[in-house]
Amino acid sequence: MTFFSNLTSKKRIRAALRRLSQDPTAENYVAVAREHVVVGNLQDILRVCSEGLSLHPGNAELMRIAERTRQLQLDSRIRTLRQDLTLSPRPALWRELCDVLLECGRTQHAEETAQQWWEQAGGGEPTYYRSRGRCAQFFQGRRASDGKVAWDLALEAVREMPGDTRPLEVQYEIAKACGAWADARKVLARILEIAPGHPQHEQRFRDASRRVHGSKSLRAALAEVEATGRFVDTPENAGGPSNVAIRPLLKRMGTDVDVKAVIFQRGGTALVQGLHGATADRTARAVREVGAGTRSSARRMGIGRAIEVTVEGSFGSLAIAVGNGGTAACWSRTYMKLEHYEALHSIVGAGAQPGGSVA
Amino acid sequence: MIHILQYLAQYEGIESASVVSYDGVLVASAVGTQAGVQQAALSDREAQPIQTLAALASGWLGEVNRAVGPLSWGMPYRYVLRSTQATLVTHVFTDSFLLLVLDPDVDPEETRSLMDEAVGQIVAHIQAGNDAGSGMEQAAYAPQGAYPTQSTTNVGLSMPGGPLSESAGDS
Repeated sequence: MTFFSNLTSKKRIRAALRRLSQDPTAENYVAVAREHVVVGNLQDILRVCSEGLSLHPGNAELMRIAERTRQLQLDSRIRTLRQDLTLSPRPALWRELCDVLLECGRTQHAEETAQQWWEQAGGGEPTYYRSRGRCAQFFQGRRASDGKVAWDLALEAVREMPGDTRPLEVQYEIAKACGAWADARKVLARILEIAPGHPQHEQRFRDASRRVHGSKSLRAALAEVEATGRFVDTPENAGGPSNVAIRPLLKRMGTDVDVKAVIFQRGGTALVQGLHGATADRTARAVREVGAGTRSSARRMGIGRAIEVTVEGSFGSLAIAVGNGGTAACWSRTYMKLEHYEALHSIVGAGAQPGGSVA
Repeated sequence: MIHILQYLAQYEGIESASVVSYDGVLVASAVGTQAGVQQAALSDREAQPIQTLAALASGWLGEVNRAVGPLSWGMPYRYVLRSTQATLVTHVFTDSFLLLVLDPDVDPEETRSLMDEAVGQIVAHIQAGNDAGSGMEQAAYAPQGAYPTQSTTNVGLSMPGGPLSESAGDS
């Protein structure tokens, strides 16, 4: 950044801060955060977003900027760790790299990194991280085979690190998520042997013991998760920002001249911007059907959890982001823009986005 | 056609390229070298047979078309499905579609021009095949002359009740 542009950026930041002190709305917090984005001060962006979110909790735009900034910080850390590993590979660096990759949601990379670590050094710790990577893939994609592989890897890690509860906790997470309570109880019993008297594990053990009657085997429970796409304790419509927070985002997207309609749908409720009456109903229904069909088709095809669908034709393009917090769609006259994809993902709260145009 | 698909599959990030008919039958496919390496590294991962994937992808296109149909938008020609483990990009042409399976880190936009070009070549290839085929059909159904130069040879067993047409079993 040149001296002149640095100076003008600082001036703009000061002006945005003045507006914020006069009127501390969420929009003004977003404006200050964006000015910091131009300068590239990641710490300042996070500080402003954190302050804004404490005053306006659940604001989708502030959450999106904060999340993107954290992602950039983690990316930078990954680059540094990889460079350090080429110079002097050691367990602490491998461990941190695996942790950071898991935190970023790059589960497959985390597993591959742990595999490289295991090939270089062997031992229980890399096996544990391989199991965590595969376990995270199971939670993302809900594939029974991923769950089984993660379970087996954790079992191998338990054999190699008999006094460590971490691989057992991976097994417990898998068993609990799919409702294999008999297996969960066995795992918890072993955890309590290693760490007796731990109040949280004791509570978990009592809970698993209550639910053990009539519970399925691990294999059957994993198969059911794959078939239904739902974990045992997941409510139907969990998480996601409120409709009140989403409406301004839809309106902002709708102001683009190329955008014909923006739709958000969760459960039986649909918010439509740009269309009215029966056309809005029909379009919202079509979006819901595409979202539901795509979710189940992606599971059947074995390509993990569906994140996004784009359909193009003589009508323009329709992009649909599929997330835990509902389905958001944008119908555009031309090709979909990058910022529209980003906005759709921020609405539905699709956590694990692959790279490319959405990142 | 296989050369066109092999050319596509050699690009980094493209795991496979296939031509699939609308009813889900795999016409031709080529697997990328990257996909082979990845499957070897994670050998425990179940490899989805390409035929199954083609049939399921065809079913998914049908579902999307049925959902979008009531909007009277006309038939879409390009579909992209991004998921956590792969990205599917399909480009529809006459009675079939070109299906690419991409690495999840690859931006599907990067394949747009490649796919347009490949579809153009495949359509040209099919049309050339049709033209050649129709020429052969014309030759086959050309009216015989009044004095045939070659007598027909009777192969197989003669039926006791006389000759039996192929459609006799259905009637």
